[in-house]
Amino acid sequence: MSHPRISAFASSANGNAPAVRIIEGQETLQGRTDHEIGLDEVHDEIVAANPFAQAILIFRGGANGEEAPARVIQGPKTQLGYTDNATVDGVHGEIYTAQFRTNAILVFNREPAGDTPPIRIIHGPKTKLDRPERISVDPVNNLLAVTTVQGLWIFNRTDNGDVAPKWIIAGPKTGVGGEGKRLATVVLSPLGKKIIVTGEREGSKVEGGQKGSFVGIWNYGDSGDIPPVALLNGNKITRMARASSLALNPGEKELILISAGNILFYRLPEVFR
Amino acid sequence: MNKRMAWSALLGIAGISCCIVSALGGGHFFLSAWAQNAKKPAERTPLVLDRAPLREIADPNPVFSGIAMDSQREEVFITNDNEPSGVSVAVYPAKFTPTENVMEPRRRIAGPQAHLGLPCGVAISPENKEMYTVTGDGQNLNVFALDANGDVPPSRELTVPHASGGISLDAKHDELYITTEHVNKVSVYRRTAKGEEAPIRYIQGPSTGLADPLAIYVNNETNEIFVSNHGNWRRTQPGEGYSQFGDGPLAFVRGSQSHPGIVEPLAPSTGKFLPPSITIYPRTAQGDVAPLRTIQGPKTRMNVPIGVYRDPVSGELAVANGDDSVLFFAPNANGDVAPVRILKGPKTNLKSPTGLLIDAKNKELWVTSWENHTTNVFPRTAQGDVAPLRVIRSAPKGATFATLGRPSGLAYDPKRKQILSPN
Repeated sequence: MSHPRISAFASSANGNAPAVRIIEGQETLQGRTDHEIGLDEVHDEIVAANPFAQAILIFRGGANGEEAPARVIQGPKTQLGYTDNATVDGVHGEIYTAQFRTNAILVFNREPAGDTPPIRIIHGPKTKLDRPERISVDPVNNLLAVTTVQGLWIFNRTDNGDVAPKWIIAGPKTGVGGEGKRLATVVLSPLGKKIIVTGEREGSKVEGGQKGSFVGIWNYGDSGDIPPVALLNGNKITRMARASSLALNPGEKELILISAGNILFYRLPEVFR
Repeated sequence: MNKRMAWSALLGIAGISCCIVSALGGGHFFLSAWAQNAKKPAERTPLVLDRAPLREIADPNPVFSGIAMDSQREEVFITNDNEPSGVSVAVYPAKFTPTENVMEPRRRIAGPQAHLGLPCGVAISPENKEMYTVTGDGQNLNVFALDANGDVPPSRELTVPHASGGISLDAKHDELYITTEHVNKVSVYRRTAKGEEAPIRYIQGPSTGLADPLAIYVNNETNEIFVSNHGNWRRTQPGEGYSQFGDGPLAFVRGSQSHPGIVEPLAPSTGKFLPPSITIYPRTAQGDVAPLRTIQGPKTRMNVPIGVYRDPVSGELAVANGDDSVLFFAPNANGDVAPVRILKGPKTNLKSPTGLLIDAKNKELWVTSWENHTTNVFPRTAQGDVAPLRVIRSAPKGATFATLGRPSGLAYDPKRKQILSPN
């Protein structure tokens, strides 16, 4: 049972390498559950979530130690519920979060923070959102992707209200979507125009029995029950198991993945083409 | 250039290209295959990119988290929730010759059959020869025989709300108490409960002051329950529960991975940050009840408190504090009060302490130190910057560690060339 924190490692770290800095302590206002963080490269800020206090925390990009967030989005007007994920579009100065229990996507201006209402809410029957969990934004191609229990939903970045998704990737051929499977994360890659997800093909019915970890890659424009363009499977070669989150390092053409408590680095230049 | 030379040159270029593509792509002709796939999305066959990772950040050493002692057999049970090391409950002798070497446990419960999840809290019943664990990432309370060893299934399992981390046994009344941070709840079960059995009572609701509760200690002499709270608060409804997986009753209450449950309406948020606290309740409290006392405020010096234990000799309350310290409060401490003593400093070897217990028989204080992979044994009345009497290590002294506690998010910072992960 660790204390809540954000650890930062050198991107070249390997093995049992210590973190180069850790954001931790009471003043940081973190909770022990944060399943997705965002990095605003434009404004050099880290965006984190705290589901237990229904808050989004915004730290300096170089925050270290027991450093308080620079800003906090929290309060009745925010309509934040169980908020265990947040991502950020630094280009347009917006913060996004998927709301699992209210079937909504909330979008906030990065500032001012505090008790501020969302500037947009994607919510309603046309959205067909069913337990949305993780979210990714492509500010270049103006896309917004969100994982749901039923599959992968892609909206226009500026969608608002009760709108149908632009594309849906779900069905037997996709390997994602449906009770008992799980999409853990999605990342949109403007470079190469790829949609990259991690998930479990089976097993979410019973905790601890998850298996079938994979990374699936689709092209922008893919919609319907279509197989991914490429797959990275959990097996003895990849050593991937219980894949839960991913990030891209375009400079090194690397896909970085959390797998059962480890952080794995794969060189995948094809993702960035 | 004649025709033969031209073909040779073309083949050479093709060969070099293949080598380059192969090297880049791990042995596949990705470029052409990718392009082909792009043409027929509905009929495409996915390219398989399986390859070994270039590198890996992982800490293979067990950590020390929750702790309980079997005074009769003089053994300590310590949970390890570090996945790369293989999660486990390790059993060590309570008495051992001080050593600076790595110490192997007498026994270790670990493996898929044990179904430990990420074990956090642990409790012991010497009378019933049972050990109880709860997982911070699952929804089960597991019961094992005290002498269990290896990859063994629990003798029984009880479904509890998702991510229940703290546990305490009231041996006198034969009841198990657990905390759940997701729903700000203390649940009380019969010790022998199993399956989907409901709690016999619970503490939950806006009056309780429960705010991201972690550890719990039940004292059946003073009939009090002590709960550490990180301070992350939202309004909960009495009786509220949550399962993330499975087909148990809680999985249908609100959206889970396996069932839609009841979709909540968009509504004003209730979340807020409270100072960290220790809340104290009557042992038989039920429902939305206010605490008898609350230790909270700047004088307390609490900073992400976790482990809590009442000294059976002095009545003082010991708290494992996130600033690498142990705080001791007066028996009837209430409000914004300073600790009566503090154990803290570089000699203590404490780094992110999480669990603790007081061994009255041997007049010792045991503190698990999660981040540096040690369990430290002090004199019961230790204070200030004092070295432990002896140390259990799961990794070599002086080693450095990645020490990731269930990493679950990732971001790449190109400015600093760093990987960020909440954990």
